[in-house]
Amino acid sequence: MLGRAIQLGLPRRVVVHFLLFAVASLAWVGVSLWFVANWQLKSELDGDVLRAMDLGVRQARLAMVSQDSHALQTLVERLRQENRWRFCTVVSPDRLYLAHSQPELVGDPAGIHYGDTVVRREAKRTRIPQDDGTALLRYESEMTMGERPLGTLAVGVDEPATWHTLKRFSGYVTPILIVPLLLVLVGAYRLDRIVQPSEAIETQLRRAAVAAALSESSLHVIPGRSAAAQGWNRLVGWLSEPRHVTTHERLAEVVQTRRQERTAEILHSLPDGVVLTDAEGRLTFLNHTATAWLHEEGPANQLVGRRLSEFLAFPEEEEALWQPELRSRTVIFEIKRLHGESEQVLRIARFPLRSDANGNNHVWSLRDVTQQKLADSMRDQFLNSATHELRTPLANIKAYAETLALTEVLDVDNQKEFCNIINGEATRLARFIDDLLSISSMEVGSLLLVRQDVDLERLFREAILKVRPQMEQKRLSFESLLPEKYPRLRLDKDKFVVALINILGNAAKYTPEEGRVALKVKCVDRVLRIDVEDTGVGIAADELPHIWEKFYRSKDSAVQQQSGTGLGLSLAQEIVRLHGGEITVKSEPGKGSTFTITLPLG
Amino acid sequence: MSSPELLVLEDNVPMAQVLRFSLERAGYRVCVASSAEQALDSARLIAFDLILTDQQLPGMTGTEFLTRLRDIEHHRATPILMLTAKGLELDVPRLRLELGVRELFLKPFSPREVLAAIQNTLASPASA
Repeated sequence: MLGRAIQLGLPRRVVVHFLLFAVASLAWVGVSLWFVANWQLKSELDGDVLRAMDLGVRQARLAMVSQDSHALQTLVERLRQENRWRFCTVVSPDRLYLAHSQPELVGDPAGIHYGDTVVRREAKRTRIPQDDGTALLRYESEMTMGERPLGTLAVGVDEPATWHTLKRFSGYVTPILIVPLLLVLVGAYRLDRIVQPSEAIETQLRRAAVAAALSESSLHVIPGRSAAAQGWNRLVGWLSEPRHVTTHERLAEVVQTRRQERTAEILHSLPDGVVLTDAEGRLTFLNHTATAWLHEEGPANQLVGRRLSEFLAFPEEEEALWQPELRSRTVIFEIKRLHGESEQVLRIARFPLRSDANGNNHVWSLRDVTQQKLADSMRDQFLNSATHELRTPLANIKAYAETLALTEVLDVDNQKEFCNIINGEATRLARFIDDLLSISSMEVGSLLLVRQDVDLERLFREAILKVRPQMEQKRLSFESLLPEKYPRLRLDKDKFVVALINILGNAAKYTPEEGRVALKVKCVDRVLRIDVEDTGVGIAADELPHIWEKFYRSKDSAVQQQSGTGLGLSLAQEIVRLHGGEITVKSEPGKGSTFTITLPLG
Repeated sequence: MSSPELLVLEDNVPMAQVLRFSLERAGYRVCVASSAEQALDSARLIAFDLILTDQQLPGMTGTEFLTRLRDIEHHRATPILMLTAKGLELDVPRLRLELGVRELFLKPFSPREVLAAIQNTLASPASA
């Protein structure tokens, strides 16, 4: 318990001290009161008795010296009576009563008295308890004549009644003092309760003072509802938040983390690849896109630390990529690489990292321009074709016109022929320009149909007529299967004719000499069905889905040999679709193709 | 002395016809080929004095045709006039210097100018 007492905290120690001092004070008060009262009374009594005895001793000595035993006897009796003592006696040195207030005892041996003896000045005082609870106080005083002992004067005094009262009173002192003592104890307990929070806090602080390292577990929540306890608990709660430093530092940390997370988030969200490399060209950071493009089998973080040049084939002509002294130069280049199963064109830009003065670290931007390249090449192809298609008829027109104008003598047949050719070429040119314009409209989405009641028979005949020269030139056999009766249909005649001519024209164009082209028209189930069959070069299965794309031209050399813009089918499809119909194709390379247009009737 | 024999390589029929007309009217003998293969076959057999060719030919560019033409012994230095619908993309220096193209005509061209060029070329001896 002493050990625990040593570990008391300051507040508890205060309480304990208070307790001890209060109790000590009370005890002191009690004891002092008792002793002082006791002593005071006793000494008062003693004083009286001893004074009287002094007088008595002088007188007794005189009587003893004159050997007047009668006077001695009278003296003791008188003393007893005057002082109201119980007895008064003179005892000889050999312990015989020389005189006694009780005369019958004279000459008897003096009794032995048991009790507490104290010395009072030159007298001894013995307290002899009596059977009835009172006590007899016996005072003895030695008498001497020079060196010769004469005897002893002894008096017996009843302990005064006040003493009994006091004695009884002392019985009450204890209970009386117990009340304040209890109050003190209760008070101490209450105090203890009050200081308990402070105690708990102080204990934790003392432990923290000697702990090797502070952690969240150094401090605990304390019980109690006092303001101090609540404050402490709040503080502990706040301190045990993870990674706590000062508020300021923590705020800065939170903001910084957010910013870093935000930056990383932004980088990872980009559709372009972003990577960072160090002075040796090793990857230090990749965003998700770059990781997806560059990664081989295995987890993404295996890429960090490896050289970027392992994954991308740097062009040799870009000096800045190879020469260290050019490392702070910005470089932009394109590479083709295999990504999965398809070819990918990447535009790569290398920049020195802004914060890096030496240009040791680089940030690389990777952009997938495959689609762009494809679109560009298709556009270039289209432009080539378009230029050719425009210039060819124009060249013919000019050549014939000039020849017509400059030839001095030209026979009429030739003249006619030349003019016809000029006319034909002009028409061809016009139609091509129309196609171009239609395509533009299609792009913009503003191709409009002007529907009218149409004589379908005339429409078909017109289309056939337009394509006939082409077919005759290649000696193709043409077959047409047309119905006897045509349903009523509202079409945009001009545009539909164009679509038809495109399909028929293709059939003629891509069918080698002496081949066969057929046009079959049928009304079936409320649908007008137009089939154009040919025995041409056909279309490969992998190209089939693409033939409807603008500018698409088959890679097949047989097709490439023919002039074409790649727009015909695209236009035809759009026109048919706008009429609410559908156009499909079946084809076998080397055998031929069949294009089918279906239009809803009614 | 027979008139110069020219080879015209042009796949567009009306154009080939008007060229033949003009050239024959001017007194030249004309051989028309509608494909590079045909032209090369003819060139192996006949030592033409001048070749007029289109740049865009089915299956082969004019440049490729010329390269193959120069492999033929007697056509190492035959003067060439070229017709083209293309403009900027042609490697003109190479055509002129390496392949011996004397003149380049952009379509639409004036047949009279072409005739004049042919006359000039045939008049002046071959200059590499």
